[in-house]
Amino acid sequence: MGRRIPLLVAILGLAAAACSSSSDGAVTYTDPAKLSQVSLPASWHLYNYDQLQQLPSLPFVETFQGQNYPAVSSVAFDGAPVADVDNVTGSVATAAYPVGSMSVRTVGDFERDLLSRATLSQIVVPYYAYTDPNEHVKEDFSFGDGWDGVKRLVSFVDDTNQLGVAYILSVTDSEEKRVFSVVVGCSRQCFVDNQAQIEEVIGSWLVNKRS
Amino acid sequence: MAGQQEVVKTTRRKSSFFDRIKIAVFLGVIIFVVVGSQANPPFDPFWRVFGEFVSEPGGMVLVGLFLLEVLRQVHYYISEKSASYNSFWQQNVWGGLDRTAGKMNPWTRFRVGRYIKWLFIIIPLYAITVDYFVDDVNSPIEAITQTPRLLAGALPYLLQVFVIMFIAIGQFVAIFWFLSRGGMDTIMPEEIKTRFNDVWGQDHVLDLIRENIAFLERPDEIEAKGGYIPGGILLWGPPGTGKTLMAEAIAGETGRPFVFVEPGAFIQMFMGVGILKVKSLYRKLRKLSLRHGGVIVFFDEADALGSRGTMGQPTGVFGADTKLDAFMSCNGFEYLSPIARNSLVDAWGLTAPATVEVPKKRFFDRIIMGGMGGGGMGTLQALLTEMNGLTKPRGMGNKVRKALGFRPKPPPKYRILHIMATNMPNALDEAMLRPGRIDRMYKVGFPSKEGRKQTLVGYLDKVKHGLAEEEVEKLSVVTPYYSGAKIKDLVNEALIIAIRDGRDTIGWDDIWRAKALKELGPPEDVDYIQRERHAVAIHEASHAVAAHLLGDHRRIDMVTIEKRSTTLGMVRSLGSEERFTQWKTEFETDIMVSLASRAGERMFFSEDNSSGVSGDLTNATTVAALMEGAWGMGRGLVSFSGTKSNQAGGTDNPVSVALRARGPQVEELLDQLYAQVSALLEEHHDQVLAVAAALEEHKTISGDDVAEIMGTKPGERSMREPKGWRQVSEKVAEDRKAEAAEALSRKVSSNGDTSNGHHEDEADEADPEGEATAVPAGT
Repeated sequence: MGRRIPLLVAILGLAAAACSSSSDGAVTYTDPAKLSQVSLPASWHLYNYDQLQQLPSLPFVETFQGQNYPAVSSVAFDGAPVADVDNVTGSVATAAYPVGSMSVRTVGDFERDLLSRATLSQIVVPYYAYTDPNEHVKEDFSFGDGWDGVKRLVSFVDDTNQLGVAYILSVTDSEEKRVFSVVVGCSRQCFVDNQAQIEEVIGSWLVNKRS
Repeated sequence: MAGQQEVVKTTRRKSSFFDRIKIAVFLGVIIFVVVGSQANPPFDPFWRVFGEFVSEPGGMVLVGLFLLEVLRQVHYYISEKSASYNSFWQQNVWGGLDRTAGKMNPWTRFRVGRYIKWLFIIIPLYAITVDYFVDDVNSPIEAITQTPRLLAGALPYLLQVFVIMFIAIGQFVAIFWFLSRGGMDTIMPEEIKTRFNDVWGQDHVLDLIRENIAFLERPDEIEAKGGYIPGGILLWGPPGTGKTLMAEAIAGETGRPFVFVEPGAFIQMFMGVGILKVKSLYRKLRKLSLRHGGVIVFFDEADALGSRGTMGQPTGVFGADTKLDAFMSCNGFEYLSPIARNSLVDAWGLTAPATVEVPKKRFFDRIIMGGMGGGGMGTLQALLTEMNGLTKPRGMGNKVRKALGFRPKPPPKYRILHIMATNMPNALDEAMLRPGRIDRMYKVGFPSKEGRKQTLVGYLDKVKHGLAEEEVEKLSVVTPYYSGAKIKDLVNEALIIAIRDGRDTIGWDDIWRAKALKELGPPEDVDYIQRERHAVAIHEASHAVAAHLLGDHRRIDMVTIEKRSTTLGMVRSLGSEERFTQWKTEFETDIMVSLASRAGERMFFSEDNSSGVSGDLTNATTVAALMEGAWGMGRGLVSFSGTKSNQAGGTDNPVSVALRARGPQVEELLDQLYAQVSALLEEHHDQVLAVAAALEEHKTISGDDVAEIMGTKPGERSMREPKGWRQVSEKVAEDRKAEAAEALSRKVSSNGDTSNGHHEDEADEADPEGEATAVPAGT
């Protein structure tokens, strides 16, 4: 019996370790509807759906070709020194710190016929609406099981002639009834300075395929 | 301390590691699988899902069971280490509960157990299931309160399910249900009118059976003294001796339900139905036993249940009809004494005539052939299991208790008395007859003379008759081996004869005619030609005269020359007293009576004789051979009875062997006896003719008629007792009496035992006339 107790403790320890998430200077956020999850640097700020609804429009929720994809869940975040929900309302190209969003949007029956790779990225950041749009990374992306979408690293020049860069991941569920997106972007210099953190945030994004 | 039971404190037996963890692991795996299947990390991590699972009723039950199991194992662990702790729980807690439950009436305990099962298992299970599966039910309590609505809503669905089930399996159920019905009748106590005084002529068996009634009436008394209740009685004996009536009387006397199982109840077309019937029967018996404090189940003709390895059919050593022809060719062997007739039956392997009981064959003497038995595959085994399988804990509750490691609850004591009746006890399975199943085996044989008289009086009292008491007495003497059913039939036949003659009162002649009709069959309506009638009359008259003069150990019942199916005529003898041994001189007399026909024919027909003597010679030869080679009544001492095995594994017929080995001696004996009977008939030449003339005129005459013609009493030329009997018996009786008195007086003086008076009584009873103890050596 004496040798069994350490063994039991070890097994329980391993089980506990396997069931918990690592806290490597990042904070993991799951949206209230448990639809998607992202890990943000500890210094970043998160603005939940209720806060965002007080804004004139939800950030990174755009229409495309006149079609609307209403959000059912959305959180926004930034890397600003001081938390302020207005930080996420401005132009990405003028942002001196990373701003981003994680959202889930519904696709109507009509809109479903119009879904395309362009749609998936344009409804997050409409870079084709700006000057000199470039797609530096243009890949198809998949979580498997029919959860397919696009990965885009784009740059564009906005109305104030500032060059902005944005990293976008956007996928539909297997039935193409919802669009899951995550985006992080800021001015060119900011992106260069924070590229590693931005890529980590993008890389940490998860969707709940059993939702 | 005297009067107090010492409390022994022991620890619990140590469990193995596997036994300790198996249930907890089983429950843990179930919980893990259920929770793990719902977990979706990182959105729904395992512990969060587990928390939600625990808050649901199903999860609560599973986790609760898991914790209980852990607690139980902790309890066991402490019990294994601490004797005081274990003793406290075993004797105070569980022991106290058992004592409390033990005070309940078994029937009440059964009902309470059923309610508890509903309250704590079935209803909660239903509530949780409904709560889980039905959307608009939000809690188990609501599931219970909403049951009527749910049932009403589910009715269409239930109806569909019912119809589908009915069509799919209903047909099989119906077939098996119909097949498993019937063959078992339950008679409630108030419906049974039969009592012991309705059973006549079997007083000695009834005395033994009365003892068994105590088992059903005061079972606790016997068990409190360390005994156990015998579970079964086998009544075996010839047909018609009242076995069924006796079983019914037992039920009537005890006031318990009586379940009658018909012989064919377990013989079914389909395999397995018999087993279903056995189980159904015992369910019924247990229920009746609890409700009425006992039940009697009666298996009539129990040999129909069969045996796992026997067919039980007795077969002869030879073909059944090899020697029968010999008896058919002549006048049978009815003039012989009953014991001599039995010997012939045994020697030739014939089926005994209706009036001859063949009680001597033991079970293993029969030639047994393999077979499946009457009950069909598995039925007998199921019956055997049920007969003594009632002490096993039964029911789902006990199964759960055993699975959880608890001691199962003992079942209530079912008081089931099995009574089986058969006239072929050797056909029963040996396992059925072992103590614990059939504890008592009583032979219900043919009634004794007193029994027959009692039975005759019983049946005669039901009709109008003119028989005097001495005639009833005489009738009881001349009806040996008559069963109760046969006596009833005899009286009924006599009544029919009387009614046919336009009378409503039975007389002696009616009884006598009925007896002849029943025993010998109706005479054939044929007339002999004069020469043949005279020859048959001389033949039978010779037998009759010899039997009359020589036979004191048997008495002539009737002499006839009416042709019947197997005989041209016959002399029928009956034993004058109930006997179980026979002497050399008596067998010699039987041989002389057999040979009298040939002697008579030779005497009256100038040394000529008919073929009708062949059967008589066979009888005489057989008896003489047995005397020489089996019964120690010849010159040698060698017995050929059962000494030589034949190729089939049985024994050779002792008659054949004796004839091969002792042929000359047998011939010499026959010659000697033939000479004696010839001389006797010469001496009574005129009486033979007179008897023959009476036969030619009346065709049938009685033994009394023969005596009247002869003018002498029966047995005038015979010795009334074996040679030297009187001298030996008187001397031995006196010597033994003196020795017994001396031995008793020594015993009294040595230990002062007050029971000596009892022994003296026994000695007096055993020797009422001072000569009954004088039994010659060898008998």
